[in-house]
Amino acid sequence: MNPHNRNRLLALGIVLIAAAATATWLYLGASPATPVARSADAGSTDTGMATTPQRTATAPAAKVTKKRAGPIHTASAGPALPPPDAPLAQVYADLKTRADAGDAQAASRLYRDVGRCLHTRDVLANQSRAASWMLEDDTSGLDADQLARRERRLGTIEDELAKARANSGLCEGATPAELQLAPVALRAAQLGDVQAADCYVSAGLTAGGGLLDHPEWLQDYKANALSLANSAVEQGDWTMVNQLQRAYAQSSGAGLLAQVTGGDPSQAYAYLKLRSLGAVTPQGNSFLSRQLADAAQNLPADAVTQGDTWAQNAYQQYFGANPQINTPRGFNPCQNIGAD
Amino acid sequence: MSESNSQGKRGPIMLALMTAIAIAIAAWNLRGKSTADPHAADIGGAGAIPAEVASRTATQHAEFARKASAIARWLSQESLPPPRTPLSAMHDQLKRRADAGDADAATRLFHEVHRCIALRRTRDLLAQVLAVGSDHPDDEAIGVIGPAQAVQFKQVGAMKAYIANNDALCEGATDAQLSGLTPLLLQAAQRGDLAALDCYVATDFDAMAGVLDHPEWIEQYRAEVPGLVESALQRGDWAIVELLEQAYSGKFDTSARGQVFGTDAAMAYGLLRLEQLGASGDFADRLAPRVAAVAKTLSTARLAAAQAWASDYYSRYFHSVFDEGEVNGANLCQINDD
Repeated sequence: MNPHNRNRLLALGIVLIAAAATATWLYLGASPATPVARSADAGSTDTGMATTPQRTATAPAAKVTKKRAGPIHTASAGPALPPPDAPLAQVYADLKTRADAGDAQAASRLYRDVGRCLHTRDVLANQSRAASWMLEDDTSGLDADQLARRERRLGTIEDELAKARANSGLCEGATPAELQLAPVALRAAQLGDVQAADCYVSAGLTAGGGLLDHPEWLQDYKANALSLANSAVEQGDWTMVNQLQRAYAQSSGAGLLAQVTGGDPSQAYAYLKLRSLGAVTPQGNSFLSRQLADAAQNLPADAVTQGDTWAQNAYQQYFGANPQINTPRGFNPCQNIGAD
Repeated sequence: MSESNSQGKRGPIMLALMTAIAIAIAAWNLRGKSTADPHAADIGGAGAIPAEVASRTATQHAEFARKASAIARWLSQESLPPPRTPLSAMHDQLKRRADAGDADAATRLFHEVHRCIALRRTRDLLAQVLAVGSDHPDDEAIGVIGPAQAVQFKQVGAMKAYIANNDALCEGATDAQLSGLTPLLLQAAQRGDLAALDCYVATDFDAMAGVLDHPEWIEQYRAEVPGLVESALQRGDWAIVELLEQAYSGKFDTSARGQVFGTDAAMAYGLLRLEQLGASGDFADRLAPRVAAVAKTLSTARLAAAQAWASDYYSRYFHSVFDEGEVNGANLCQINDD
């Protein structure tokens, strides 16, 4: 065999091995993406969560893995990013082009810069207003405690304003279109940024405005939100576990994700079980145990078993490095984006 | 003449009568059209209350719809189902009548569906609150832990009472009957239901259940809200004044209403000034520096126009006191359907 042919065979072999490895990874990766079949399948006795053959083609969760395999694992090391103090207006176009081409770092940077400018704008407008109102208020009737609280509040506002003023130069000249959060959050999330996914899935369409002029974002959300959510869970993201649990339970304030998932008590139970495994405090454990018991009462026994099994598997597989819930109560993933 | 023949002839007569009355009401209502919002264009030019608001006679539309609906019902002798009829037993009838333009049926349907959605949410919330107090299974125990939990105790009691009061009314209501609250909300708002109107304007897009499958609701919101807001202003609705001020001042610039109206300091000032005119006592005193702070940002001409607008609207439409606790945007959709 001449060297030229040998090299070709070698190259072919590498391609085949890579393809086989990718296929295997995709197959294995597909297994735990969704806790259980939807309630319609709850009567099945198959508890093999890893393969869930009873999963219906129409179940939203079944769409997960094919989408997940794509952009979320294509993080690439492109050219160096602009310096951190570069104004958004100057770097937006370049970062956007790179993000659209699949540069994960550029996409995350753009998401954070836009988020930081939105936060800066919000603080400068609303905290300035709050401070001026407080300063104009008549304080003659306040007692010592009330005055001390007022001083502390003013101090906090002052700190926030100082930080916002320091950042304001980075946001000068940014157009309203450049301050729209939804498209940049989606791109960063697609390229593997879990925090961007948390924000996009929770309130990304409304946090930065723009939906009135871009109702097509709803279609994007419908097509992407669940796959992004499942991918984030596979990366050990407790924030998304909470979001999915609330969505499947159709809890109040569960937002647009609840419209994508629809209600599914079996899946809500499975995610609740997963949360219980990450409970940090005895109080949290007690709370989740009570909720689990309540939820289990309304489910067939095999659905409970399936949910328990899936949660155990998911916990071991995805949360080994992050075994305890680390999302503060009431955490808003779209707040303080890009804060130092 | 047989009774059936008599009824057969009565239909066209009633239709003709209804049409004549409707035309008369419309003509009467259109008399005052030119009085609507004469100063709107003075405040901030193109950025003030949108031009379409000034041209719409939203109050008259609502009033016309109400009268026409009442006449239609009177002629048809079809009364609404009695109070405390379960939703499942009257949903289809109310829906059919609402779709045919019956304002009372529309607003009744909205409130009944809203009641049953609120019931589901209350059950969900109660379960969570009780789970939090799992170490104290009886809610009285929650009440004695401390001052904060004492409030919790009251909420538990109120939630249980709400569930007890409304459970039977929602028995058998299906998911399908409880979906599509947003169109019902709009329909009731268009028919003159002020509580529904405030809730619709205050609603954000991600709180519209079903919007992912109905992106047209976004455009509908843009098209309908200015006219609804104007009609509410002309009915002296303080809640809408506050919602509009939040939008124009930029406080809620990314909210649905904030995107519709944009920010405009002159309009924000005009609305704050309107609130100041309606407030009394300490609250009026506390509003004064806020009004003054916004005034400083305006040119003399824009300030004068905004003041004139506020005075004009206050004298023409607002006959009640603006109470500080009256308007809370977060609670606007918690309509009391006990």
